[in-house]
Amino acid sequence: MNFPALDRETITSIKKSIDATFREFASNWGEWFTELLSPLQWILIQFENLLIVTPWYVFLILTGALLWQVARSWKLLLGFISSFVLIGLVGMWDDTMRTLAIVVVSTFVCIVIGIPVGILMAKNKLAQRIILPILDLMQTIPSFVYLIPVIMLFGLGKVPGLIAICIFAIPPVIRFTNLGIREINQDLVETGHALGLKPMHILALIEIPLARNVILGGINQTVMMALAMVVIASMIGVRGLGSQVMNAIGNGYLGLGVISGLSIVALAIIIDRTIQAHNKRHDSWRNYK
Amino acid sequence: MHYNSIVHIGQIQYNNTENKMTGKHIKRFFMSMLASMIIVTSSAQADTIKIAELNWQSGSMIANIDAYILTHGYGHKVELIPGGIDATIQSMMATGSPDIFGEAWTSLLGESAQEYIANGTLIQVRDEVVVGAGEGFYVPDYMQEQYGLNTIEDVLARPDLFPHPEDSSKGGIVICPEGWSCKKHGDNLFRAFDMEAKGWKLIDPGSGTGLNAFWEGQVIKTKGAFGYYWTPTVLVGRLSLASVASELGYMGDENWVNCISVAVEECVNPQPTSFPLAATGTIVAPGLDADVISYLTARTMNGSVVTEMLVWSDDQQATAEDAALEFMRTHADLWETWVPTSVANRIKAVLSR
Repeated sequence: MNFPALDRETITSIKKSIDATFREFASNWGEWFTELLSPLQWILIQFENLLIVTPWYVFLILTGALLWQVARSWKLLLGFISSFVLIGLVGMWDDTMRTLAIVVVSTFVCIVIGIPVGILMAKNKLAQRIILPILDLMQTIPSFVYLIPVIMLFGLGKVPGLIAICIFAIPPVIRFTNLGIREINQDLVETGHALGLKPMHILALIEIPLARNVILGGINQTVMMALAMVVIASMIGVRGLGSQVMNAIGNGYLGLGVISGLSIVALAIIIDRTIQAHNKRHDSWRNYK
Repeated sequence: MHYNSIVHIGQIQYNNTENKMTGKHIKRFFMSMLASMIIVTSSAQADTIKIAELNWQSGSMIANIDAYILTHGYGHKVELIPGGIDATIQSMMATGSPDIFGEAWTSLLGESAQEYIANGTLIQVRDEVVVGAGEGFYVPDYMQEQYGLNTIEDVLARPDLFPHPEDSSKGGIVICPEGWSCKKHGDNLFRAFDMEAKGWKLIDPGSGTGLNAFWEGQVIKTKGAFGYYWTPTVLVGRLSLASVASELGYMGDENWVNCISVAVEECVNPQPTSFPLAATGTIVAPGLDADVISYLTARTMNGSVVTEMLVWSDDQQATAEDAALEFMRTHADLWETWVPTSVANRIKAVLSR
């Protein structure tokens, strides 16, 4: 027996009214939103240009130095250099730089928005109750559902790509920040109160430093999810490794698919291991728990 | 061992649904498994007809119409295989499957496919599946009216009206996404018209979804938009896009086939030209039954009918399958001419159920 669904006309009219409402909204506000986010577009373009213009050896030296500073691991440094040399050899350098640019900027945006939201959730039960289901929604809704409205509002290119990436990738950093702060030993917070510290100082001097490793774990997850989204983002005109994957899918090029796919994997592993190595080095923080 | 394991899996599924299993069932099941294995190894003997469900509106609707008629009219077993132009033709050339490429835009197939058709490895059973279909460059009608942009050359003189999303000092022309054969046309025409020197930059839409949403978004905001699209499509109708051709007209197959349609590196000296009028055809792999071939040979429809169905399905937010069914319901006068009376009667009996 069929479920007593609404009749076809009603359902169609509901769908159409959603369409019409959104079109109306896009036509009135599209320009305004594009204008609002144009600084972000400028940053994305400049950062990508910078990475592409930088000679490869300069990039390897500078990024290698940064990686050493953060992780202090010879194995990792070697892995980084050899995988990027391989990426360069198979002609994926520029696309890898493009992908790195959008992932770095997206992660930055996610952190800037995500950490304050996470703190708010940790401090305020009501905020947590409202935001948690929204995060669930962001992580589970199929990305194609919001890709179309995002392009209609912002047009094709990097900014809509960044928005699509952030919708999917921001939840971990928010969740982990919330969790990290809620989980720390309350005795230490009380000590802060006893010392007469203001809430802002308790946050900056006690809570964030103690929750640091958990938050970094969240950032790590965010980077991984951003990398996973680059293929989807390439469907709305973000060039990079993702568009090579799309190219491979569209043409049935197995080799190109493997090479570009593995380049994404290499980026992911290097970033993941770097943050993990960093966390391990600072593991002593955990002893305070 | 291999067979055993498959039958075993089959038993479990069967038991779940029926709770009883006779020797006859096992035998039938075994035979069908065996048959499907043979299909995998030699697709020519396939008793399931594989129809390419193409990834554009009219293509997927026609695939669904074919599926409906072959299933309900002729009693064949059909399977729809998703695919685009390139993926489908490559797969047909390599493996002979899918069997039917219903709405093949023959000018987009590339040279090797033409060779396969010429030497009989693949068979083109008809041309003009959709009468009046074509692709080309478009601008919104309000841009055309306001600025008198009637040709590609008119548009190219005004990059300022079509700012590129990432570099507003340049004009932006949207071309096909990666993996579509028209991507090469876009790249080569960009060079042929010397667009870079005229202040233009390519816009990569990334995917078909991106291309649609680009046109949709620009027209909603009444902004400039210039680039690739094709007809018959609901989008051209709904957004009132106006086609712009080159004032030179179509400059011949020599330039189009040997340069504009090949990879950028192989096209040394591209010349400006309009798009050719695209001929749509139906291409099949050998080994199909005669009744299927005679149906496909008879099947053709006007672009306006296709557009009408596409607008209907847009209006109803219907799937390609719904659109095919609506076509079967409302255009009996048309499809009756494609099939023998007995087949038509069988389909009508199913439709009236």
